[in-house]
Amino acid sequence: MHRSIPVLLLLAACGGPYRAPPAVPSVPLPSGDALRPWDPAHPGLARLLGIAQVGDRAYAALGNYDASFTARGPGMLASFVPSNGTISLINLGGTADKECISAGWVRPDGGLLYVTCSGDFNTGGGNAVVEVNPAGQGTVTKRFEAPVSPAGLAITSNRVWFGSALSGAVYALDRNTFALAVGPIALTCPATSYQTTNDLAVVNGELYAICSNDVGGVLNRLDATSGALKGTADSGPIAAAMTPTGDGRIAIVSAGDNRLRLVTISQNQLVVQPAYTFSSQTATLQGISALNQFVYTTASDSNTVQKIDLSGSGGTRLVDEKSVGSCDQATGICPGPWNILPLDDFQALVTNQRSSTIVAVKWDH
Amino acid sequence: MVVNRGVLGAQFGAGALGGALELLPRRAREMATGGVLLSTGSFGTFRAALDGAAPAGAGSAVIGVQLDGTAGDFDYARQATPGLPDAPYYDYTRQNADAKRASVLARLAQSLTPATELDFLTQASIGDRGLPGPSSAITLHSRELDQSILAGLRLRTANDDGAWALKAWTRFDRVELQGVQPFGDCIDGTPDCPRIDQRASDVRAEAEGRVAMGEAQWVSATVSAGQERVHGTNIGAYQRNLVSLAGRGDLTLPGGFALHPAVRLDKVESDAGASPALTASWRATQVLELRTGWGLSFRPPTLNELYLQSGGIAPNPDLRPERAWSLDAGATLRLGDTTINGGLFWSQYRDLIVYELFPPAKVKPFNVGSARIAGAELQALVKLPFRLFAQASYSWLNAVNLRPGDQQDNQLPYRPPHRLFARVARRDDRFDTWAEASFTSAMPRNFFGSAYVPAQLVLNAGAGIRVAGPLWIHLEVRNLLDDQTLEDLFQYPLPGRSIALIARARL
Repeated sequence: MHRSIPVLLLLAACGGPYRAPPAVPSVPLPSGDALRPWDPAHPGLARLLGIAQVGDRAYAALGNYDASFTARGPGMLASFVPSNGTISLINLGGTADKECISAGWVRPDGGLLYVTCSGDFNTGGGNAVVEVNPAGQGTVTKRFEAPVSPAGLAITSNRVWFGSALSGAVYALDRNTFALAVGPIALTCPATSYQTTNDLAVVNGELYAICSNDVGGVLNRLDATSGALKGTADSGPIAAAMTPTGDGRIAIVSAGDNRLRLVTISQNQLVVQPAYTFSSQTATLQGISALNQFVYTTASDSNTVQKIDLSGSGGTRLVDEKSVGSCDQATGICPGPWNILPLDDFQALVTNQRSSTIVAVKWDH
Repeated sequence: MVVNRGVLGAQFGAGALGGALELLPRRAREMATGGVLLSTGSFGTFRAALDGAAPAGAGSAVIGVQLDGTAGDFDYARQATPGLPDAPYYDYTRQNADAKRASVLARLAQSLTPATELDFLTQASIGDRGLPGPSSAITLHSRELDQSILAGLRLRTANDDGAWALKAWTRFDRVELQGVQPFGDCIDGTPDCPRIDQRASDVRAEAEGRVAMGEAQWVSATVSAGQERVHGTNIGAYQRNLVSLAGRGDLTLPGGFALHPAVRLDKVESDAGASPALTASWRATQVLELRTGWGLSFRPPTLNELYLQSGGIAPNPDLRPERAWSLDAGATLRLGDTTINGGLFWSQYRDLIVYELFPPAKVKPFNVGSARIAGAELQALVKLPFRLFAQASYSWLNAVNLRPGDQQDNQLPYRPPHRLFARVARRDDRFDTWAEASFTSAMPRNFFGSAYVPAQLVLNAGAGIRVAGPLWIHLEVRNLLDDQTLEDLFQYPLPGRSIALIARARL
């Protein structure tokens, strides 16, 4: 989530740290018929994944699959103002509600939202990239049927880039026509085991993509128009997500080795620094966002979120950690935090994929 | 039970890389004997066991029956925010960790001639257990039901010049998983939560011969063949044929020396491996005995490791056979009432099979391209005054990943560098007391040296009294320190202090 520039401008204008209106502690999510199940007898669950902000509203992607991870309805966006939590839904499903299944990653750019739909793993349908104009009730303005299951995405002035969840490759759409412009472009990936391209980012006009598996990972630096490879660096194993930081670096979380890496970008090289090793009990790092000098991370198996300060003279430092709840001892359902959206330096919204909830986290430090 | 140390792939078959335990069934005496054991303890844990042996026809019969169970509802503690220093622990009660099991073993041996014996052995068990998941991702609805049966027949003859045996056995295992899905659990009986039925079977035949070559030499050879099968929901059906040839010599030399050359060839479907070995021992004096061994070993992944999902273990169909090159040396020193065993071992592995946590809640075997496992073991057994008996052992392990790349030179996960065990016991014909301490050092939890299982210290103690005739009553306390933060290698919580009351008698 790259929101540092507008926030810094606001901070400078007001002469103090920006404080967003207090978010409601939890946001009730729709269920049942509201999720437009293909079979009313078998509705899905909200199954929240990515979250982004445009203006004063937050937008969370709804996977809309059931307890057994079977897709049950179209991918959706849940739109709400964090301070009141009232949800309205934007249906991304298109024809027969099946043109976008399992909405996952959400990225804002230029007042628009871009969403990848990773599809139905059972039928293979519903792979898509969609552009959403969030104005009014929110409408899908462009749609692309993806040839692969798309994962993370990144936006430039003329391209919508997305990665393949099941291989080491990226694709680009022409942002105007939404037709495939480039791809597949094979990434540099770990040689052994499976390959997945979990996340992409655009930093200083260049495209970055991480291809990883359980053995290792590679950060690819690419030309943002042609996709030509310009360099690589270590991203760590099971590199789940990355984000540009407020100071111009790239932060990557790697679930395989429980580490946060910081990548310093120069003209000719990428310098990777293992910046923080999470506690041994922190499990399955999943998401990362940045705001000002902080990065925020989620760990979906330990049900925790972290606030990490990158600006300290002694290096990166864990400022605070919060639990988003423990596993329900009656139902066994665990929160499974997936993504985090910092609203300011003191509060953030967290999407919980397993419990289908959105909760607000207020940091003590 | 016989403990065999060293590289024994050539002697005991694929997989016997660091040693082997032989379980030898009890033989019936000339009159009927038997035993009974009843125990009950914390968390609804119980055991009832009954065994008997008696002469039967021209031989003997042995039967054993055992029932085990636990509610498994112990308390444990974990931190909600483990990244913060001094984060508080919160109390939980383990759920869906109950288990029940019934087992039976029967053996019938009949002498056909004074030198020839026919042996039949069967073992069966049935179990039902909850699959509670790791503490961070509990699964309240997942269960595993299993049934297994094994039956074997052996015809064996022996005389002063040699021995031969023909063996045949078969085994069938069935595992049904309920409420299990790739991520988390589901409600058994609902349409989207199918049961996973998995079955494995194998049948084997083996011929073994042993011939005396003079007064001090023996040569033995074994040929075996068989087939393994697995099939189940979502995995399809697989089968593979196995053939092995093995030969071994036992040479007793002057001066207390002995040599044991051996070789074994295994063919498991398309994988083949040779396991030659040479071990030597020297009884230098009545006090000192030295031994050393060298060997290659070969372990193909089991069909279960390749294809079957069982409990919290995920299969890996891409596994390759594990191969190793090993050296070991050891010494035994017997000084009066003290026996000291020491040993060093060194193994170089290719495609070592290592189990690792597989998010979110499974454990999965992986091949490590190249690894070295070296270490040392030291054990001391001492008889003390007042019928006291003390035992202490220490092991040091250096398990290093040699695969080039990010993981090179890191310690392999789940192999503790240090283990220390000490036990003191006293027993006479009326009282039985013991206390023991077990320390396991911190160990890596992943291949990258960035997450660790903390060190653990567990103290246990027990006392027993013979209250009447052959009837003993024991009280055992485990985890005396009541450490409720203990977890196993894969983040499954372990019970705090537990107490068991045991009654047993042997006639």
